[in-house]
Amino acid sequence: MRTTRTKVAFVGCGYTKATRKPRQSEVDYAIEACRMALEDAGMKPEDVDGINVQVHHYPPPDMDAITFGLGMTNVRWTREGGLGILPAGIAATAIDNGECNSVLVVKIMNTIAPVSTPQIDPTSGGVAGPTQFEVPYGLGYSMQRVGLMARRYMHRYGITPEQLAWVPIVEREHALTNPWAVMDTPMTLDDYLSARFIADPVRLFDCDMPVNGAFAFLMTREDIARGLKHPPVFLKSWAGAQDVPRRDHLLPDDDSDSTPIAKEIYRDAGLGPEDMDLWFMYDGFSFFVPMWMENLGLVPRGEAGNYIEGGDNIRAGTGRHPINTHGGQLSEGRLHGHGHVLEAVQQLRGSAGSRQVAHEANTAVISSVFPWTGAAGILAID
Amino acid sequence: MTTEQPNVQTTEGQARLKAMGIRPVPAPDELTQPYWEAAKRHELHMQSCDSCENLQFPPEEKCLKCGAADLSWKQVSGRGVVHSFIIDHRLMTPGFDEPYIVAQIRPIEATSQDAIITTNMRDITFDEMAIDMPVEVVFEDLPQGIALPQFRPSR
Repeated sequence: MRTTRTKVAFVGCGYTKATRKPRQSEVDYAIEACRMALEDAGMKPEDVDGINVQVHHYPPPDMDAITFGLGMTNVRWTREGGLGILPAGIAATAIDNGECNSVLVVKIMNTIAPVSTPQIDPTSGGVAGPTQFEVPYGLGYSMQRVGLMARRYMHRYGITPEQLAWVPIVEREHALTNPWAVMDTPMTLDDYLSARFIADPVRLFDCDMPVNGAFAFLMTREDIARGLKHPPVFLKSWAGAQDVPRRDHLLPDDDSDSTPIAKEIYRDAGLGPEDMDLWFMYDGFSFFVPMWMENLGLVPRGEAGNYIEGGDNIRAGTGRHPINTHGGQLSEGRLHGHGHVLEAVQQLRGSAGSRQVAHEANTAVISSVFPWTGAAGILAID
Repeated sequence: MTTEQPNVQTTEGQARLKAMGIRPVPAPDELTQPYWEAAKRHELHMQSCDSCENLQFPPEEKCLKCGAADLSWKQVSGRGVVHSFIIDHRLMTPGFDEPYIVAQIRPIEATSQDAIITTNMRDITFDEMAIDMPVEVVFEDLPQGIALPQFRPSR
């Protein structure tokens, strides 16, 4: 099921400011963000009977401490995990199946634990399992794996660093109007190009940064959503896989114009790429933005470099399809795709404040995580 | 006196592991043993599917292309081309203290991308690295009794 019989809507958004150093516990972050989402919707905690909490480390925080702290007295459905648009799809399915009526989806980020760590035995240096063919060569981190994929991609399509730079530059411009963003100073082309290499071709500002905080969105059935504070924003369709395959650092040979995920989301929504007003492209690394644009059929294969060059096409105010109007993860902070979902909801219902795009926007396409292994979905207002 | 092992699940533990400087080495298992045994003899072996002859690396239980479970180990020449590469400057892995190359090599025998192998590069400067450059295998004999395949420009 990649779409629902019952229409399911996003009705509330909650944020804590992303910070580089933690200021409270994970449970407290989650409660703060969820409370904001409830207030934003005009719903009471006892009215919400489902919750999905996502963290990137083990063990996760105590779910009961979060639901008790919030005052959720009627919890019928709980889940852990999923990034960005994917847990929205999982929640919509549960609502559609009648397992619950409303779901809070909260993402907690924490800097005490890295997202990916090479598993090296601290006594022998031994590396077991599939990474025994990688870690002994010093390959163990996401930015390195992305770098391998990125160099091949840039080579295949002739994309230059000077073109790619406009993703982080424009996103930084957008972040300057986002009070939740962690980065709050402008960036120039020279800043981008002169920053140190992390894993050449990956430069410092191609990478998002770990943060502390929590972001929450509240979803419910259409009949409940109609009576709340904001116009409902509907989840039209989604597709994707939760597993990250082991060969995620290999750029696929196939360079056909759209991917299976793209075909699914457009088919199930009854819409096409040309109907997507706002583009929220996952940007844990800047390279992902052009890759996702092409994978979702928003620009022709191999054309994304030219499309983003100079920034006008992707900037709010100048572009027909501004990308990541909140600043994306490159400037808002690493929220693993949840920031993209929240900003899409704010923009479509017209509550984005100083970030609100000037032109009419009724639809948004959202991608989450790696471009060939992640998820994507479509949001729309009536 | 006991020394507490670093918890590699934390950022702090990762930093401690790095400071200990223990170079990571492969820990062979049932699936990977034939590869490392061949490497000890300075031979490069990969899995080949008995049904569709797709060459694959790293080893898997099943063929990545057709799903068949019957796979045989096959020696390859050790010659290939650079598919992609990075130059790591972050130096987070223990035992890697100077900028280094991680490359993906496509063996000349490869029938698809399923046989691409990860390596460091020997006898080359960063500026000389290029996609599609021909390379050949060399073996690095480690004190732990493991021979680690490495690549250098073809001679």
